[in-house]
Amino acid sequence: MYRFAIAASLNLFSAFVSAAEPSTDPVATFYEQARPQIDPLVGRSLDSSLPMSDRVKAARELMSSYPNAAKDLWKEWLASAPDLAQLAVSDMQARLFSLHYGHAAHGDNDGTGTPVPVLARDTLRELMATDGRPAIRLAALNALCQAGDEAALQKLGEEVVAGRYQPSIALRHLSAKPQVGGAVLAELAANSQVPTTFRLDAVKAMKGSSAFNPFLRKITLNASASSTVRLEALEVLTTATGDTSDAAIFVLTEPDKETRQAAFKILADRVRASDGQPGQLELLLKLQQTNERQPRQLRLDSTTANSIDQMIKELRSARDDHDK
Amino acid sequence: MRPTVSFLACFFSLGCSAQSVAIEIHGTASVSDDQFCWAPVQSSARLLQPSQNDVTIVLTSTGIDESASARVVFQDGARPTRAAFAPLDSLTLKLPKSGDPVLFSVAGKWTPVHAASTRPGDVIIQATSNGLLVASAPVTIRVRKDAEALTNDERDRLLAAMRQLHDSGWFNRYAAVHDYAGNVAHSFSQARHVFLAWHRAFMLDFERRLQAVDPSVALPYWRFDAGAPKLFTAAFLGEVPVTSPSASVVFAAVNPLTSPATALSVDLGPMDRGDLLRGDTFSWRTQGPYPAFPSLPFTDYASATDGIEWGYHGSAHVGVGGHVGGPATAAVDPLFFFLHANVDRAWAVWQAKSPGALDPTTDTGIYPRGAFSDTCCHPRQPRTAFSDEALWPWNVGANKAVPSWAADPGPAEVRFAFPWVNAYGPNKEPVVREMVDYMDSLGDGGALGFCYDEIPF
Repeated sequence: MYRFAIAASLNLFSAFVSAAEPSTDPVATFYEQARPQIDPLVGRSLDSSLPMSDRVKAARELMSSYPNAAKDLWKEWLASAPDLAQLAVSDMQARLFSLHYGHAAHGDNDGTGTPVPVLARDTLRELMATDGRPAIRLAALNALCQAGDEAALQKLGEEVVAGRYQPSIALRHLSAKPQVGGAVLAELAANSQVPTTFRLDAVKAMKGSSAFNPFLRKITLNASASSTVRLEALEVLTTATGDTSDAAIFVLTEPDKETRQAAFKILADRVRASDGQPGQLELLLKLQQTNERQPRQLRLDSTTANSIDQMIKELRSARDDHDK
Repeated sequence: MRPTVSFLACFFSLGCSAQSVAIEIHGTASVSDDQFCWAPVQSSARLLQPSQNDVTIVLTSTGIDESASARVVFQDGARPTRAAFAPLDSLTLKLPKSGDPVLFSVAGKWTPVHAASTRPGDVIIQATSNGLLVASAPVTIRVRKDAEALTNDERDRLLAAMRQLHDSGWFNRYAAVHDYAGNVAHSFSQARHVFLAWHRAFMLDFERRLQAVDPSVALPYWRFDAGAPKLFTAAFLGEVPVTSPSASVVFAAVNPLTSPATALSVDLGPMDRGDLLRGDTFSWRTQGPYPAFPSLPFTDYASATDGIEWGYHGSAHVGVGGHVGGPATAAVDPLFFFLHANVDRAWAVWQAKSPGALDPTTDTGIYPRGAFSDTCCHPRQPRTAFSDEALWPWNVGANKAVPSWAADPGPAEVRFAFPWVNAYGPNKEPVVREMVDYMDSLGDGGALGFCYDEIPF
């Protein structure tokens, strides 16, 4: 079987060489001249009678020294022993950086016109979705997530819920790509099938980029999310934005008394931390007025309302002192 | 001007006519450019005042103290090519009584132990006459080192300089350039052979701006084929703590990359303003994202740039993930420059072992050569970088056409003059072929002023 595979690979490789212009393309010339070195490596990497260490060594040499030839062996390596399949995944992962350029070509793959990074991505996506070997599925998913692939990051959420992916690693992948990861994290945070600890960690993972703020805001307003998660989201969001408007909205709209008090504590802490920042007094006054206009059953409890009154006094006093 | 004159020399050796000797590195009286690496630099010595007789001096070098192991070597006359390089530990020069300069070259001593400086000015060039000291000059053997090999002092000077660049907005600017350079630096038409050359210029731009802050620093490299236990720590380029769910990079409180108020932050517009993000790196403390340094069997530049970019370079970017994982954001992270210094080192290693690879007049040195024209090129490689064309975004001179291979000039913030020093004067527009022979081994006057710790002249 491996002889067939070698023949297939060499045909692919020959097609690459002939597709280019040998007279003007030094890369094609290099590969043509290097065939005496490449062919034995191809043969060794696919020879199932050899020890695995020899086959892996040959495959690594191809990846390192003859990447054009290595890419033509991905399919054979993937269909082969796990160690070689993992190497194929690694080689594909390395090509993904080029994918970000819209018209990435990186050399046509055996004349089909598919750019190599696109071929690598599509192959990895296929492995991630359908490969029968859990380790290869995981390796493909990891490779794509590391490169910020949208499909993989969305898949990651499902894998975590199903208990097939280590949550701590998933959170890092999602956190590193806010624009895509934020939506997945927000879904995980609101998912009651996910353990509470992980849901809270999903919110904490949204620290570090303002691109997470819309997703954090969405969690604070998501009635189906637990109050603990919503408050954690509020804390992270308020710290990130440095203002209190999200906390004020939360306090005014939250029907549950305990949750509302906890939200108010976040608001109060932020007001104190802002150290008389312009706008805080006005915001508290607005909060006070809005509360007083609410129907009695929706008003803030007396402890919270008294706290607001006290903070308003303190801020006014501080402002007066400043103006003197 | 640096005449360091011994009173004894005046009194006993040179007579009491207040003779003094000037040692001028790079042929300039300025001491701010007294750094060099393994490649020789043209220098001169002269009597500062006319004398009754010619004066013979002997040049040697020593360390500023016992812990300073770097030394320099000398060669008489005009700067030698690599083929003519035959340096000496000690050089005797006869300085004419007229005060005319005598040329010599000086370089970091490579054999038997190629030690570079670890502190600014830790090597002292001494001139003696009749055994008495008549001049001395502190110099720095400045080379690009493995980041893991930096002393804490070197690391901290580097981090402080990087902080200044960050605070001046340069990291975000570099990110914009790298993003915009997609069609140039990673020009993925059929032949995008400018990858290595363009990134060499990019690294040099970054290094020159660091050196404008602190002339003693050089750009280190991250060997991403080996473990880097020091680099990925809070004291150096930051870490993502194992217990943190977030991918935010954390710096130690004493790290210059952290100010009392805010950590090193990125600003890529309203949708991404915040911490540096890295998807992974804690595992790279013990093993790199690529299994081993590539064997680099390539016989020409085009194959080398392909081979180095595809697996070796790509695995590091994707392995780190986060901002470094995407071309549009990669350069906001200082790690990007360490990563690409190592990519450049791979090119330099290949150049050192491949005959002709430093010659920009051959396919081995650079490809394609010449200049773009509508009729020159194969239809499948219509827009690529030719060796005689100026590199974007530094081609800012008046009346300069945008190279045919650049998509368009780009917005003003991504176009700036290159901070050249040494062989090239200010406002020099770097040309592709000038990136090849970076140590000027062929002697055409184009040394770029950097070396790697383990690659000799």
